[in-house]
Amino acid sequence: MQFGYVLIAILINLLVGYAIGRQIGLQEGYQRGLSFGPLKMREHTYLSGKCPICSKEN
Amino acid sequence: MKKCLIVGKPNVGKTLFMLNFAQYLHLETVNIQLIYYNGVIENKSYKITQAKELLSSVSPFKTMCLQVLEADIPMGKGKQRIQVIDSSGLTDGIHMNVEMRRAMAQTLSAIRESDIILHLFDISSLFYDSPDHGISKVDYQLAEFGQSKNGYVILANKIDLIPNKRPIVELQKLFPDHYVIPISAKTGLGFSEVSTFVRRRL
Amino acid sequence: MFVADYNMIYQLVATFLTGIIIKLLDDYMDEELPSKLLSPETRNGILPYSLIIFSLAAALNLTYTVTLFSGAYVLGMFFHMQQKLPTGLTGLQESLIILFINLLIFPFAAVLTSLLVILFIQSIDDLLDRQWDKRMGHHNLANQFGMGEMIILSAILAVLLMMLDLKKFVFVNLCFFVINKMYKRFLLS
Repeated sequence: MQFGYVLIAILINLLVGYAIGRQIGLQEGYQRGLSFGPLKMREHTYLSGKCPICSKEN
Repeated sequence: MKKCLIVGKPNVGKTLFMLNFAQYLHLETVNIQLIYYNGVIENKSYKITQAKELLSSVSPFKTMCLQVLEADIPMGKGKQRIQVIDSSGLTDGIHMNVEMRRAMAQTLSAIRESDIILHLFDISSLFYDSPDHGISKVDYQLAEFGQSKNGYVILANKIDLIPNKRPIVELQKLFPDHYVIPISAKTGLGFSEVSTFVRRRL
Repeated sequence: MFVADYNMIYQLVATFLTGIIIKLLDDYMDEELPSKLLSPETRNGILPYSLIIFSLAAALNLTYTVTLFSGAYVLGMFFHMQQKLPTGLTGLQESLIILFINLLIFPFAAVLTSLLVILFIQSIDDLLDRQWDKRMGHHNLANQFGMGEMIILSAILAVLLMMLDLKKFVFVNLCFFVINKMYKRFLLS
């Protein structure tokens, strides 16, 4: 029984830590994605030779 | 092995910085791996002075691929090996030359995999005449990406060509959240700060 | 000894029958009743047969049947707490009333363990059906709160239930497994 309570306490801690960590990770990941987006689009533009919005070349 | 990528507009001094930094780290001969966009890899060995003559130039777009050299950086009592990667210059527009564009795309794809990004600016050509201070959109985008990434630093190059510190102060004002190190790739000024920064990230 | 044995068999069968009713109710609410049940010959039989099965389950073991079914009903409301229902009450209000009535009639432990075991089954079910529910637009705890969180929550519930009522935990999981298998074999093929 004692073991059960300890195990539950550990799991609850794990749950809270994981949930908080994931939320923070999602937010940070989103910000990082936002800042990387223009560079990724630029890479595609360099490769295709066309503007991604108006499709004009050079 | 940690990767240290050098990025910036064409002709800001990336290649000269790489070679002189290698010399600062006591390399006399450099083994450079040229990695082309199509996957072709060439290995070339040069003496530093020879490499500077062949690889560095006053005309832009000399570097058309990733140029990788390995160097030992002193750390504490020992040394740590790093890869210093020179890249092709990045421009805002769509360059007419396909090979050039591919080289630029290669630079951008290398950014995500790099542990340290040294973003070079030609401080001698900034803040005069043009309303955007001579800083391109790609520089701003790189700086914004750098903010979310650890190991990004701005190197204000060619300080040997400016009469006073005003352009450096202006550059720091434009990028207040970034670390700006004034350097001269030609004379070696600022290399110790760069070395310290790189060491901290290892 | 015989009484204890029969008791356990009654509990198991009651759990099984209640599980069938909960599964039917679940699919009815999601508008996903299998086509075999919706044929003209069978559709009119769903309600009367469900009530007969439920009453048989209640006769076998009233506590298990009512608390498990109430638990399923309350948890089914989880995503619709603010919804106005035909009774005029919101989902939350109905859930509280049902819980209160259960607590008046049945022991606290029985009500609690039934709620927890239904929540456990729901978590496992949602973990397994994550992709399907996402595509079809169904509410899903794993999609809402995250897969990692639901796995850890399921572990917490499992440990808690094993401490509080191992028998119920085993019976419900066994019946859940069997009912799902039978459902897929006989009704979905």
